[in-house]
Amino acid sequence: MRTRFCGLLLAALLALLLAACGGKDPAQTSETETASAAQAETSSAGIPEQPKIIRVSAENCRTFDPYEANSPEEAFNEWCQARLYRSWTLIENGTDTRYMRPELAAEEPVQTDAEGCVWQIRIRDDAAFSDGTAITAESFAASMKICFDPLLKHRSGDNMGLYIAVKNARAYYTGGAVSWEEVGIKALPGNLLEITTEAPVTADLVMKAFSEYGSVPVDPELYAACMSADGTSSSYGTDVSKCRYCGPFTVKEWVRDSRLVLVKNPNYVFADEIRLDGAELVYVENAQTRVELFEAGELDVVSITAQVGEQYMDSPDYFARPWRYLLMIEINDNSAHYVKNAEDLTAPLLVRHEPDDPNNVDIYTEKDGTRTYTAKTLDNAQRTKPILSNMNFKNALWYAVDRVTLARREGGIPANFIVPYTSYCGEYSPIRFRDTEEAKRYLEKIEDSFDPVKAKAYFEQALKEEGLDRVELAITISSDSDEMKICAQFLKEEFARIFEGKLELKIEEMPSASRLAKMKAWRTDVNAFELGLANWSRAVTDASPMNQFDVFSSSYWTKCNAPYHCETVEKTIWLQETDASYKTDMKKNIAAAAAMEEAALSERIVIPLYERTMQSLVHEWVTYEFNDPLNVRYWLCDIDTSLK
Amino acid sequence: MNAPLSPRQNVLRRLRKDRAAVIAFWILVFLLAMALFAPNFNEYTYRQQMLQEDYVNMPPRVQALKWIPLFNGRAVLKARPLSSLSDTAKYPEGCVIRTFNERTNRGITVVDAEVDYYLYKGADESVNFWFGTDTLGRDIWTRVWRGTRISLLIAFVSVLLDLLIGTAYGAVCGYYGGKRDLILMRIAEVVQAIPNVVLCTLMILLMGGGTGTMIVALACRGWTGTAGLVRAQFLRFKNREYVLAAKEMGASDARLMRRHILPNAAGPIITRTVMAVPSAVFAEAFLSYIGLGVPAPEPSLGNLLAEAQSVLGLYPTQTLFPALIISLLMIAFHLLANGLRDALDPNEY
Repeated sequence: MRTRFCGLLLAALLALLLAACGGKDPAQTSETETASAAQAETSSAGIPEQPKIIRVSAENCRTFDPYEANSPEEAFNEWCQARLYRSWTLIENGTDTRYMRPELAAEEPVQTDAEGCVWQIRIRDDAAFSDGTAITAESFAASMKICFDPLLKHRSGDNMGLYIAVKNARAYYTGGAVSWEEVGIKALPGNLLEITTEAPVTADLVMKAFSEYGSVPVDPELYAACMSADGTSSSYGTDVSKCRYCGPFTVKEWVRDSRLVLVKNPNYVFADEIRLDGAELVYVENAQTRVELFEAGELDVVSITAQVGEQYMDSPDYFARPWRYLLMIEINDNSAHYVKNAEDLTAPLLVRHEPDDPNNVDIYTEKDGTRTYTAKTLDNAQRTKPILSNMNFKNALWYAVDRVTLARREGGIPANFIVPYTSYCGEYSPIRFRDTEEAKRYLEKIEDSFDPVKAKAYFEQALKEEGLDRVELAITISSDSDEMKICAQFLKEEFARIFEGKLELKIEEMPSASRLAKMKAWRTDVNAFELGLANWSRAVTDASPMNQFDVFSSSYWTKCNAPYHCETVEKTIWLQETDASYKTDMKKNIAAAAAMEEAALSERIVIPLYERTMQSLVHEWVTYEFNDPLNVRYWLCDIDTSLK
Repeated sequence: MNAPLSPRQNVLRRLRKDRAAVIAFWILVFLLAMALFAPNFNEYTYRQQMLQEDYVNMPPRVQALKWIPLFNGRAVLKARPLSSLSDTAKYPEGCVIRTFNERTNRGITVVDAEVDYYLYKGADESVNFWFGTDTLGRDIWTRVWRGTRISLLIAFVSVLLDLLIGTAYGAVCGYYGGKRDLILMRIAEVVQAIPNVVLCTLMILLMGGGTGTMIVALACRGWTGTAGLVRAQFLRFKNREYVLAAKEMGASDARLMRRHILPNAAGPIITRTVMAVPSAVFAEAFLSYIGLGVPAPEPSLGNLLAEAQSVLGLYPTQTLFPALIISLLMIAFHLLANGLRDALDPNEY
């Protein structure tokens, strides 16, 4: 009796398990299917036409607020928002060329003064949000005010200054004594937006600046309604109903940490060019699960890891492209401390410790190059690992990394450089910075950047100078990243082998947010971290090589993971803020980028390892007529339903 | 007439009659022996990476067992263009065993190809990874057995600490009783109420990751159960006649506890201790799996499972071996503990 009961119980459990595993989750699919059914049309032959819905694996969407967009990988803005201008692809005779196309703007910007400091942009008369609310020059200017809000401190406000310095915008954004009325963005009659810059610029630069996420319009009234009482945060974009959309698609449904269901926006200015009826942006954390969904035909496009790529790299479905991110070792060498808004000095300021100075004081270097001496803020003597500042030690690290092997493991490009392969010499240029003679001049062969004998010699010298027999260092990595884990373990073994056990790396794994907080604490704690692994890139910039160094300068101080300091980088980045010719004259831009890279590499401000690649699997029924190496825009794709 | 059996002989005799317990015992002996010696059976170390040789994610191969599909060193490469398989620079002569699942993709005929992965990677017959290699090209055989050793070490030492602390604590509570018992047991209950993960996380934050931390973290809370059990046994035995007699004859409290009460409570304590070992193995595996365990590159069964699960679909053998060993450990310890419980049960005499 008992056996029979157990048997029955087992059978019931098995049936329950099978039922749970089989079939689709109705909650997951019903919305899409409903949307599909609603959009399905009947062809003239009477055969129902399949709706064209693409299903793409995407990064997890945190917010719809365009001014809080972290990187283009947060795909939502690409799909659902329009800007004044957008990088587009022109296909002629089978080749594709990128060009800047007016999107919400009616035409290219018009110069209205002799110097090139005042520009007018006419907003399209038919520019509107998906709910029909018109987008006008007034509402656009109000959006810009939100973008530059000094209390909200949006990331996009910072990025907007990359190409042109809008008059007083930076001062307003950084909380200076400037009112919004003094900022060079004005709405004029005739649906015109007038932009005044600090220095002369070109139409190309104005268009490039207004193709950033900062130029996505928001609904000012809705934004105001979502603001917190103290005005330092907003809930705009935290819910489907708390956002307006003006791009190719609108959000129909958002399941947090899971997926976004998008439908075509009929009010989009180029709606007739969008061939898809809808899209599903699905967040699947596990790479293996993504591949399984791809194999099962549940996803049309998936991003994959290097390990999966190894299995599929000969498949026609496999695509790989450089991905702008460099993985690098960051060193807390205490070479620079940045302070901002110090009471007696103008911002931004650079604070450097001068070890040779008998008084061991900090030297504040101002924008114009003058120096002010003041008492030190952080005591160099409190450092527990002074070897981190030793140049021979940095050289030892540089030569101890087998970048070729590491890059092969992760399907990346071995890097003894800082500017990634995704950096082009101008918006329309097919020339990569890395391929220019200027950029090749000072780079050693990648094979020569791995030299265990040289590394050992440098290391022994560093130990001697520091009076040490051996050294133990912690390397901080993100526990969320398998790539970092693999990389750190590889480095640990390699360093132990090359330095014959005299350098012991201790791997400190922690969640990404904790890692960043720990590393960024270097401003107040000289021993906040020792070594760290980080992906670093000026994510929004690809058309101005010198902008890649912005992140290593004091102008980016709030976000720096490590106390990078290179005098050449510092000076050049400050110079370009007031000298627009660095941006208009590409030769000058390339030369400046090369000079900064050469100096930064020779000073080993970081130890680059490899440039990451974006690897994807794309089903054959996803068709696109371009091969933009920077950004495969799946929202412009088509679906050949006959192949599905 | 047979000579009377001592209690120990009696227990052993009864244990030997339990076939499941005997098999479990020999499985444990085998696993322990392998954990001690197997990492030295080949030339690879647990942290040696073979990235330069590109021996990454190699499937298992044992020359003598090549007739078993699991150990033949073959792997399936997905969606390879049929025409490219004749390229000997990429696919050395003889490495493609068979092709299947032929289809057309973007006008190209593609197939899935079963290949001799060792030949494909340019490794000769002398290169054999019995359990394959992981994502850093480390020998899984060496890592699995070393991981077993680490997991068992953590489990045994933490259980030993449980036993020592719990027994002493429970003995004091049970023997003396009164307010002392009341206060001490409430403290034990408070400690017991702290979730294991929280306690381990705190310990790791305090002491940093490592084998020692794991042992302390597991022992920190584990002793409370033993203390409860020992206390109950002491309450049960402390007023027995033989204890009172010894007390009347001037035996000290420590002697009474050690010589007269504890031996009688040994049965449940031994059973509980044996039962606690697989629990500790499992707790270690769980904590390592969620990233709170032994830091890399030191392996443990939990670490190995955590690393392997991200490539489970592609390289299932990386999960198979640690999972198999952890399962065997759990089953064997439980069966042995069941056998011991029956053998030590005085009601069964």
